[in-house]
Amino acid sequence: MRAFLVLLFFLCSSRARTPSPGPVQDTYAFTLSNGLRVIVAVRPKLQMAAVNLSVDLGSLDDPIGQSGIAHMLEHTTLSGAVNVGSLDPKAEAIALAELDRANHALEEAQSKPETESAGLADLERWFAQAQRAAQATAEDREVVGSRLEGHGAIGLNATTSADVTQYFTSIPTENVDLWLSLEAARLRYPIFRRYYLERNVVLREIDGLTNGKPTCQELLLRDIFPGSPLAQSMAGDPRELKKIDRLAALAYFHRFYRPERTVIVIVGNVQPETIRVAAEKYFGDWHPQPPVEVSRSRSSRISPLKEVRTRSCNSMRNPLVLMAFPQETTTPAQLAAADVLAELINSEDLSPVNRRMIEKQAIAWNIEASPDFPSHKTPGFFLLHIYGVSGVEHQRLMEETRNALRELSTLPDEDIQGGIFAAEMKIASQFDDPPSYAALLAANEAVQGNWKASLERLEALRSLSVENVRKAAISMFGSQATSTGATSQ
Amino acid sequence: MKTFSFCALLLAICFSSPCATAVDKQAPAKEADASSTQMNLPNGLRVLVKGSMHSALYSEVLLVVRAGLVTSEPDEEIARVAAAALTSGRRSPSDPPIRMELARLGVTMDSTVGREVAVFRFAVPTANTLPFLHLLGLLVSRETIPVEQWADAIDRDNRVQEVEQSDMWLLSNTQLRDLIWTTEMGKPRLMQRISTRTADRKLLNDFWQRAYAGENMVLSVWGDVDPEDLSRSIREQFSVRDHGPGLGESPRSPEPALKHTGSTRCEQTGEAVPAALMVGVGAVTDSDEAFYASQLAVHILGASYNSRLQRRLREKSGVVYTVEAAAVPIGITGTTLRIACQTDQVEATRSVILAELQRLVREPVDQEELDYAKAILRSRLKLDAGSMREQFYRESLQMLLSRPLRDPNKAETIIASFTPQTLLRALQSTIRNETASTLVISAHPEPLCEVAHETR
Repeated sequence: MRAFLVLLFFLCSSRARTPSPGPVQDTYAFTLSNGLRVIVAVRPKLQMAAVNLSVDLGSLDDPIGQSGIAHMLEHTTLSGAVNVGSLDPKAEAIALAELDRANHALEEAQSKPETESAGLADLERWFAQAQRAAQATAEDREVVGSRLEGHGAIGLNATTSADVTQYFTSIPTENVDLWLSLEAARLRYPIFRRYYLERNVVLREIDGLTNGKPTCQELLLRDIFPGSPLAQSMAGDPRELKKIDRLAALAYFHRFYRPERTVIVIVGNVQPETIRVAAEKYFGDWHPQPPVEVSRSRSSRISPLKEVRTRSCNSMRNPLVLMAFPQETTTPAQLAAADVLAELINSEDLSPVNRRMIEKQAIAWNIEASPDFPSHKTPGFFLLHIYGVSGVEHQRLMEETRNALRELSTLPDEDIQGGIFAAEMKIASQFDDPPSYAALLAANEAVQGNWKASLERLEALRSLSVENVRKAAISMFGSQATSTGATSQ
Repeated sequence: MKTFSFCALLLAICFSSPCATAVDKQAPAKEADASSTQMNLPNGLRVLVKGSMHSALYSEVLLVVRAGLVTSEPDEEIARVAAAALTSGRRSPSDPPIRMELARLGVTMDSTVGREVAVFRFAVPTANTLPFLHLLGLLVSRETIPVEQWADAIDRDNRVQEVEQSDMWLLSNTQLRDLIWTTEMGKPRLMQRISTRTADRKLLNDFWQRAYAGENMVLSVWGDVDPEDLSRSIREQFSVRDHGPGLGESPRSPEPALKHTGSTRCEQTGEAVPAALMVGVGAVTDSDEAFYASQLAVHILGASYNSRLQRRLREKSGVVYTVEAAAVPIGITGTTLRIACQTDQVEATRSVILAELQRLVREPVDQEELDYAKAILRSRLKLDAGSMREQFYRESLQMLLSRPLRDPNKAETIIASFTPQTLLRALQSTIRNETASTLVISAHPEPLCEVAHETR
């Protein structure tokens, strides 16, 4: 009876809204009383459900001096929970506390130049011993991944973008409940038992990605947003990551992994009501302490530039030019027009940039345009990567790019219409693929508070005229502004 | 953060009425789910149509042609060029390039030329489905391809091959395969490229006429388009060309033959930090049982978090960031079990991989890891079964090829029947560990390369 009353309370405390017409037909959304949002897209023909849990936390949220911490959390939370994967929770807590002490002592010694090597070796032994002791108290595997795969989960993975952290997999419909229960456990009772091992994995990953150097894109971001979190390395600065220990990571996790910042999306042959009841069961009584209010640095520190900013550097052996064009206005129509311009530039068959620089002059081998760079949360940039042929000067690449971009507004109607179609197809194909659709809904809801954002973008594209695109091209690329800040790496 | 618009209203309703209405139970709109209909055109073209799919945001078109590499033997390059020719050139000198026409319609396409068939997949905005079919009908109805279109196709094919040849990572798969299997098998890559000057256009046109004829093709179209309109349009556009002279039975290309021993190949490039390590072993998968046994072996070995290599190389020793095992088909009856990772400890990592390959045929797997592998394999089969593209592709193959295809409906019975002991026996007769071969791509010379059978 008591259980029934509790359930009744949770049912009442949930809020819901009706499914929407159009492509998102049969998509249901509701919010638990603690603010956790759940979106269910019913797809009766699917035998596998695409599931996605997203947290409104990305690399842009990394505090100055702790770059990479969001990415680090993404890696460490899959090792289980206090009550999932432990062979002896009390013994494990003691062993992990000892491991933290060993790590602290070792890091302190490593930071002092006067530390003798013999002393350092002793501390390293202590740390290794504590690590082994801690490992002996828990299952020696990636606990969450293993359990889910044992129940048929495939494509299990996680990503950290500038805006959001996403955990996702595809799982047989009958095992969605298990997925929810494991997600609840790792979010509510984190332990980070493999933290120090995983930190080494992350450091190796960063080394593989960047070879220890800032990328050209990071250099551009430093130019555009000096001193801002946007200027930090998305994957993280190895020196800063090494200073973040398990306790600091846990503290950061508790601050941001909270129900009101969490979105769950399930796309599959599931009943919304069943999912809502399960979500209530596993997450409904998750009521963490209110967070200490910390002003989020990204909005307060960023003052977007009003001019084109260009940086040139070398990527491997070849010249690379990055050009960032401010996108100050963010109405759906303007964003849709930016999508179309990106598609036109990227198109092998319609792009005037491609024609001029790759086919006719052979001075570049690839050109990529990305709207909405680097984040959906801030006024962004339209970013161009121009990969030059070896020996071509950066300045020539910039000039020719500018000339080619100006041709965009004079393209024939059919070409621009082709760009509109291409932008529509890009969104439509994501809607068609269950894991991509789940990721899209979750990211839209977590980042913009609007899971329908992509549908709105699709609608905006469908009502976009060729003339709208021409105007956007003139507004964005038509100015004669000279590039600034061009330097070589 | 934006709040949901209906929340307050529904909250009020919730407190004043039975709360089962918390989630709106409006019945989902029914999608018209007509099964595909088949049409056979007088010229032999078989067509599968599924229209009125109201939830489809765009149309898909799949064209499967019995024009794979073995069909143009002894010169399989011809099959590749012919596939490129489908969308090369212009309709007439005054028209824009065909690929530009496709781009203007918002059509995206990809194509592959496999051993037996060439496959073309198109995604088309719903509104442009009929105009696109009109264009495609014109393209496949050509009796011969004009000279300049062959030149365009040859150029494009050469560019694709140049990219493949210059990308060490793409090339590594071919190289590993060639360490394990004899190169006579199916001649996967022609070594002499066709150039626009040396091309024998008569040969090309002859192949085009024989292979790209109605009786060698299956066209599938599905989307939110009126099926009557679709059928009418296809009948009009695709009936233009008569029966071709006929391709006849595809020559029986020799099946893959395993080499007697494995070998090692080393490549050096400054970009390979840490080194890339690929280990492969041949497997003879000439029965359904052998095929599914090899699939299970891959999952037990290194295709999941629970896999032996993931646990030994990543979790325990931390020498790799991730390790991936895959079963790569070769011909009809062969498979390469391929394990790939990046590591700065090549020798130690390779030793572990080889030891685990040996263990697979020496001792039975644990019941738990077998159950995990079965669960993952079943999920993969479910994903395939749910893919409309996969279903149409399979139906097309069944119509075009004379040999029987593997029946996925039998998979569950076979998978369920495996015990640790029966899997061991199946793997013992499937995996040929004597062919175990290694490919290393590193920035610096690796010690194992100094004693390798084959070093470059």
